[in-house]
Amino acid sequence: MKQAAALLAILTALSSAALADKITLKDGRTFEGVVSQEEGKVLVKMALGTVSFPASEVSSIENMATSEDQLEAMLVNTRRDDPEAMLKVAVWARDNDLSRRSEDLLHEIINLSPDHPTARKMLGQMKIDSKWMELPAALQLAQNKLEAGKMDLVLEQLLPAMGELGPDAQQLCRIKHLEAQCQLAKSRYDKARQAYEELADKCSGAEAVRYAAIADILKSHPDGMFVLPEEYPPTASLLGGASVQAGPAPLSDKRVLAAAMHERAKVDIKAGRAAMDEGKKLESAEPEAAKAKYSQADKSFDVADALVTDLCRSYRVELARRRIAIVSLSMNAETRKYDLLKDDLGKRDLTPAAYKDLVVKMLRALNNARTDMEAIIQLAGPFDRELVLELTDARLGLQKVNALRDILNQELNGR
Amino acid sequence: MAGKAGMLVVVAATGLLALAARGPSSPDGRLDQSLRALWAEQFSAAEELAQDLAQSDAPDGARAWVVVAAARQRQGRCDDAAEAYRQFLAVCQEEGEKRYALRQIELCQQSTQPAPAAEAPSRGLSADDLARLAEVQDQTSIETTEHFVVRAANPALAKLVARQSKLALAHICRDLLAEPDYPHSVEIYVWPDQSAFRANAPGRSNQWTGGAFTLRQEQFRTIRRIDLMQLDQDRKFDAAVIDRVLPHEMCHLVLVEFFGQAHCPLALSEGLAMAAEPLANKANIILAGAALAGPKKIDLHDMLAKQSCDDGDAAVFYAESYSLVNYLQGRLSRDQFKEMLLQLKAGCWLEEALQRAVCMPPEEGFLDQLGAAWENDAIRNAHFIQALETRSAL
Repeated sequence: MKQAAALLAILTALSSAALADKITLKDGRTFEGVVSQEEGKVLVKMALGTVSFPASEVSSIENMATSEDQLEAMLVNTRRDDPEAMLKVAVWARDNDLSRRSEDLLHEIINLSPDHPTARKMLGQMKIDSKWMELPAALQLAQNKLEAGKMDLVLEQLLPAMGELGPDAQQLCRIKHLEAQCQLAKSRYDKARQAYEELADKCSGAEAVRYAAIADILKSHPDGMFVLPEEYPPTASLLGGASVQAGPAPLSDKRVLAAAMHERAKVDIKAGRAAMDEGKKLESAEPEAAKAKYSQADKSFDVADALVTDLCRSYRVELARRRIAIVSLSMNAETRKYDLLKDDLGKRDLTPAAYKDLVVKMLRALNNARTDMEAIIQLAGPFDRELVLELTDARLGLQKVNALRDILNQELNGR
Repeated sequence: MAGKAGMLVVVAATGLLALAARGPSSPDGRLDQSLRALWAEQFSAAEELAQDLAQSDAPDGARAWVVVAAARQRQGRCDDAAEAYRQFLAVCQEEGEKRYALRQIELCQQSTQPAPAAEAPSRGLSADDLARLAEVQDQTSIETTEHFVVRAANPALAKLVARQSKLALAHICRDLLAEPDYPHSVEIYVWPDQSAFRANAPGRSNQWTGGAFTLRQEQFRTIRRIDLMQLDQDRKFDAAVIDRVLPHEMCHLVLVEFFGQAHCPLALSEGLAMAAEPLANKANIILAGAALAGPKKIDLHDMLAKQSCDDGDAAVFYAESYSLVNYLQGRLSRDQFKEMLLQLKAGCWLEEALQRAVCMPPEEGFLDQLGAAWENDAIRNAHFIQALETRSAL
């Protein structure tokens, strides 16, 4: 009792006192901040900047105790075997930017009282199945529980508890995703749709596209029934394996949702292919217009791939090939130009100036060819398996071009 | 009186309680329940729940007709199912759902009115007809149709070949390639015998089928031509010319034109040509299964790599080609099969063409899995056909 009162007194005193040093000038003005002294001056570092005064103008300096010092003082007056007392100190430490010390103290509390709920919560832990765990592990376990059919447990107990652990933005998305999955599994289609809409707003990139698509599917099928036009996956009949039969099915089943996403992705693939075909027609006469069409196709494939991972890989390989074909036209033109210029070197008697001019033109052609080869390498790079020939060809070509450039540069510099 | 009224109230209340006990009264709840029952193969329960909802005043309750239809269809009640699909068609708004319902109605109708069993075209010919068709006249008879000009040394034969050509082309375009039309004219020459055939037929002579097709440019026109033989070695009318050779060579001609400069795997080309023949080739089904089950098998990778056929394994190659094409046709929809051919024509390998046709991402070991699934199916089919043949013989 006495000890608790003493601790309380210290805490009160400390919380009411300023935590900064204080100087009093001879004219009566006072300033608070972190005080230091150097070469006849007194410096006060405050929130908005540092002010300095000649030491002769300073009447007094009061050095306040640092937070660390204060914490040590508290601990001296705290019973280390009293979890509640220790908790107060741990909270003070946390509130005074001593998070690591706070954490250490919380671990001490847990050693004393393993199931101390507040200490555990402050450490970002929650209890599932008699085990304490941190949020990432809790999220994984909640996913497992969901897949085991324990949606009520996840929705009513686990997710609210996770929300109290101060999740970061990514963890918040995962929690929301779990909620959406649970609502869907329980056939609460409207709630699921809302959750997916929120996710689409919170997330970005492919994830946002995916969530938006799910929300849209649920919006288009508010009764939760999706009519599969064919069995899913469509390779099941070719390769054997389990499949979902064509016909009416509940979107609460994740395979049905996957089938619905697949159907949606097909629409984007169709749009992408149409743009690709239009590009093919424009390639020889209007290469820039063809490139624009290919970019359009890429966007459609991005959406399709967001819905079904890697669905459009073979089309992207084809797009890369087509783009490489366009770049190759330019590259071949430049290498031809270089070859013609090189022929001229041997054929004519050249003045030094004319020779230099020729070498400069050859260099320019090589530089342009090099740019094209680098572009080809960049296009083919993500598909190094499928476009191994194009990649190897461009790399070898680049080596040769670089070697020729070195020689020509030496020629120019030597002259 | 009061007693009877009281009894009525009790009975009514019991009925209401029973109704409530069947499930939630909200339409969503009932639809979900009926879908789960359908999935659990509790077809009667699914039908009852769904019909109850479909016939209620619940908003969008009529969408439940598709569950009623599916439940009936899976119980084998195709006429009733078709009726329910029509009810669903009246309320569905999504194009995909409409197409699905129409297709199911078509399937229901097909199952109640099965197509007549395929017959060899020569089956309808009497002994007199066969004798007449074996006659070789000095004058060449010419018979023309929209797509064909048939020349034969027998007027009845020219007519018969013209008629069968039309049917074979329709089958190839509609059922195999899903092509709307073949907009070209083909010349068909029926030579009396092998020596006349060898002397005159310009195309690649196929010793296995006894016919040839030609597609080539000559000056400013394209020659499309099929050469056939009228008589067998006993100088009798060779019925195989209309049963097998004509549709086989016609399919090759159409395929070569379809693919143009693009490469079509030989296995697919030969398999399709055999699939163009009206009758299922049971001997090849049995041979394929036996080969795939034993040391003589040509696996899928090797099948697709073959550019020509050695005499040594030609029979197995043809049999497996036929089996493979049957397998693919049986497992892909008509649109998917057509898409596969289009992707092959665009330059894809078979693996990629299939993945694009069914719209699935690339998968490691896809061709191996496909090969294994096809082999298992081919062996199973061979056993089945063999068992049927044995039973018929007994």
